[in-house]
Amino acid sequence: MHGFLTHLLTTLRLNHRNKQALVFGYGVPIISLFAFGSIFGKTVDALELAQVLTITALGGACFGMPVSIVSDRERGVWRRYRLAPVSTVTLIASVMITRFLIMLSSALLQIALARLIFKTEWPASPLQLLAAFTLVSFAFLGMGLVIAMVARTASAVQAIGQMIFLPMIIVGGVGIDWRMLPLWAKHVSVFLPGRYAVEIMRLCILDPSKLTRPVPIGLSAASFEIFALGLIGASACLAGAKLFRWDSEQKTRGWALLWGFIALLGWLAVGIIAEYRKMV
Amino acid sequence: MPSQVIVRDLIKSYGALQAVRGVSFEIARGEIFGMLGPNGAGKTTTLECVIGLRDPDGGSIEISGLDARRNRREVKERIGAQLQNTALQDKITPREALKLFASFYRKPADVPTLLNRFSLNEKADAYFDSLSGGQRQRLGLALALINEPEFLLLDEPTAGLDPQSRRELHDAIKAMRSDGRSVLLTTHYIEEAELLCDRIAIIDQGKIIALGTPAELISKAKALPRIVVNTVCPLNLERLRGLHGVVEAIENANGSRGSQISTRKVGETIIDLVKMLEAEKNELLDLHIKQPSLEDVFIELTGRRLRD
Repeated sequence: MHGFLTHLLTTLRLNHRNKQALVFGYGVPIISLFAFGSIFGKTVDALELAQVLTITALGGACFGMPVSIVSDRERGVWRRYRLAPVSTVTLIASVMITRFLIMLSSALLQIALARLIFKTEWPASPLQLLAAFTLVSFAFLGMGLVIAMVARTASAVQAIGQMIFLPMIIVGGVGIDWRMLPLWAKHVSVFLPGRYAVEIMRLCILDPSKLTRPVPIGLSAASFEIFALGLIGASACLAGAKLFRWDSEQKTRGWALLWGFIALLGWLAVGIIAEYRKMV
Repeated sequence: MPSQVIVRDLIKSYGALQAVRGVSFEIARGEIFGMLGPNGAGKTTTLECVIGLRDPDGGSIEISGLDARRNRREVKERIGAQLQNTALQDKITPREALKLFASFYRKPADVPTLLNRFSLNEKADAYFDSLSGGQRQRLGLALALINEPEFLLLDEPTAGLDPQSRRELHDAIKAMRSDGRSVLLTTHYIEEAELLCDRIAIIDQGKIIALGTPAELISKAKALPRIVVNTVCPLNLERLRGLHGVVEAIENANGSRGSQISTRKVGETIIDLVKMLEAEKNELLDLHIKQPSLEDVFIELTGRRLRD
């Protein structure tokens, strides 16, 4: 436990000494908040706030964490960790929790700025939103872990991260509300976790007293989203742990790549069930 | 003296390439054991198998009486290492790095004591990317000692350092032996191996081809002692070859003046040489005797220089 906490605190400290990490961890999310505020008539409603928070989690998980892991691995830092009597799970957990804390602090900053500048309502259920953001982060960080294990270099992280990030923004219900998408894109969006991330957080931000007609809100109304994000996160974390590489030179064996498909199976299963439930 | 490390019949292949082919050696408590070999000889693979970074295909490794392959966590508590191709994050300080790694062990060393021992006090709170090569290597050694290990592996610890930093590290490595720790050292500097190691294994093509103290290895050299002589007037090589005990006489290499004489009888050759110079009224400027070195042994055994 001492090793875990020391590693976590050291990683957090190092992140705040890295200018690039600060720009991507806090600068870019703030810019995305202002971009959404400007595009949608100088306001940020519950849906837009949920979208902005999802982009923050997605960016931190698909780029921030894997770039940090891969860069350290390229430098031989992980090779040095491997010499110590510390388990892989301890180090992975520490890295993921560190990134979650960075993403969470960035999300809190966005919520505060949205309130201050765009007069956005405070989330109706802050604790439920915290739980939802934690689940969203878990799902995305699992994906980030797989990216970090598949990518050999930091530039490869960018390439693979974009392959996940961009479809999710454009046709995955993150950049554009999934209800506004054409039918074919709605079918695509049910396979992508971004849609469920936006939806679960929107349901926790919505204020029931401001609704024109009563609809179920909060986590109790998001049981499928909880299932989808939980399954996607669990399968990705399992795959990421199985694919774990201490050393850049360590080759991923052919059978190990099957674990990459396990991570994708989570997405596939969620999409098939959503199609069966006619969620388009 | 009881053995701290026992390696038996170690085998490791990468696909069709057999990198390590049945390597066996023992390291006693308080012994510095050197491993010399040309690039690609299997040194680093052997070292990485011993430390648990690679799984060997066969053989056994025992460290402090424990089977290293079955008791990895326990063995990691007892070994320290400084490897090539390992660095730290740019913005971590030596104090933070030592505290971080100390937190991974059950019985860590005292961080301020290590900083002091490796003369890192002044740089304790400086970022890693601002440290000099020597300071980074010293930090690497301090990290290797963070768990008060019984056994240390040092993979080319002085590579790329200036002579002053190298001397400082030599003192630090000797101090490890004085503390009763066993050290497995690989190096590209043959004089460093000769200076530091109690015993040396020469490894080539995945096998140990010679093992012994530096003096034992040198005594097996086929090379003869050489007399390097420089005179006012050039010497006639044919006449030199006729001197007592001389096997070969050549001009000095590298364009420097003078001659080199390989001889089986150093004393008698020198007496003959002085007589010859007197007869020729030639004046002696410089004369010294070169005994066969570890490098000669290495070249004889592997057909290559260590840094090839």
